[in-house]
Formats: sequence, structure tokens, C-alpha cells
Amino acid sequence: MASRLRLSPQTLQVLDAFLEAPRDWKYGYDISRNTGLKSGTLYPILMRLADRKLLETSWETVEPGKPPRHLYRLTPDGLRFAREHVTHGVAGSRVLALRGVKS
Amino acid sequence: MLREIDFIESDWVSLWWALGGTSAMLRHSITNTISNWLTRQRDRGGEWTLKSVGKKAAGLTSGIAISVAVLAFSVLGLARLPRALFPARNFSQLPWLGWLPVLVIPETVFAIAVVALWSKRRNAASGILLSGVALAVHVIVHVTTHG
Repeated sequence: MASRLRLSPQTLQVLDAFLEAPRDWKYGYDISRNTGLKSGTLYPILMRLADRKLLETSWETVEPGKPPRHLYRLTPDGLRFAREHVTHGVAGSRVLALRGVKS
Repeated sequence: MLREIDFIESDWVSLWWALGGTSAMLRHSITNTISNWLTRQRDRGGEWTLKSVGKKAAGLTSGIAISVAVLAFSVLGLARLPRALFPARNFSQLPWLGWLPVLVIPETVFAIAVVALWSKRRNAASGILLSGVALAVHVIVHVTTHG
């Protein structure tokens, strides 16, 4: 499944953002701020990653009467996939590597 | 995704977030609709062969051709009918009469034909429907630009 995923630079950015704290749940807006991606770009990527079981999703109810907030986290497969395709730079900056990219 | 708006500080950023989210949902639903439709078509009629596509295209083209013929007959023939029947009458006082042969009569014929053909000759009906919509859009654009 994951091998069919189109690994655009934006998708790698999203995976990279998840790798900062792989066990934590993240909100869409937080990922957008970390990556600089707009919602129209970010959410299709999140949906594709979730469809391929690389992300798990959850709903967080903050206040009763308000709609719940969507949360995202890497699955074990997603973590493996992200580590395989995103590599970190040594000088603190993160470098995205397009290794084994398949369209 | 739209729930995130409550957590965005600036109004403008919220607006762009909402527009981006809405466009993402729209793209997703359009893609899903098309893919579901294609799957349904494949399940219903087997493989999309060149023959079946050709048959559909022929049906659609015949529908468009019928519509063009109806429109041409209405514009060229019916438009002259009142003057031919009542030569003494001055029709310039009835400006709405001009809309009958170019819009009202053809659109009525199209609507009746689409309803009548939809269950048995859907491709031809789709061609007529397409022509009817194109004519209506053309008239709307004409009226809004020329007054």
C-alpha cells in the first residue's frame, strides 16, 4: 500500500513534522504551522496517509456542544515508512531525502 | 479541518484556512464521485471497450444533432411564422415574442424530449440535455452582457 503513495516534497514535509515527536497526537493546524503548508494542500496529504494506514486518526472533544477536533498520529507502519523516506541532517536542520520515491 | 478555525488567531488566516479546507473537501468529493461513477459504469456494463464508448458517443452526438435541428427549425422557421400568418400586424410592440422561437419553444421541446428519452435512450437524452443547458447558459451570458 505505502509503496503506491506519491511522495511529493510536501508529503515528506508532513512525515518529517510527525517524526519530531512520533508518539504524539497532532492537530492539523499545528502541522500546518510546522510545515508552512496551507490547509488545501495539507488535508489531502493527511487523508492519503490515513487511507494507507500510515496515520491513525482520533477525535478530541474539547467542550461539550462544540464539534470535536481531529488528531493525527503515525502508526507503527507509518513510523517505519517515515523513517525510511525522511532523513535528518546532522547540523540541526532537517533534510528531506527522496529515496526510493515511487509515483 | 474546519474545527481548527477556532484555534487560529487571525481572521484572515482563518478565512484562508477555511477556503483551503473547503477546496480540499470539494476536490476530494469530486474525485470520489467520479471514481464511484466509473466503478458503477464498469460493474453495470462490463469493461469500457472502444465499442461501448463509441456507442455512448454516438448517442450523445445524435442528441446534440437533434437539438441543433430543433433549434434551427425554431429560429429560422417559427420566428417567421407570426409575420407570415398575420402580415398586417405590427409585432415590434411585442418584444417578448422574439424569445419564443429562440429560447422558450426549443427549451420546452428539449425538456419534453429528455423526459421521454431518459429511460430508453439515455445517451441521446444526455446530448439533448447538454444542448439545452448550453443554450440557457448562452442566453444568460448574452442577456447579462448585452442587456
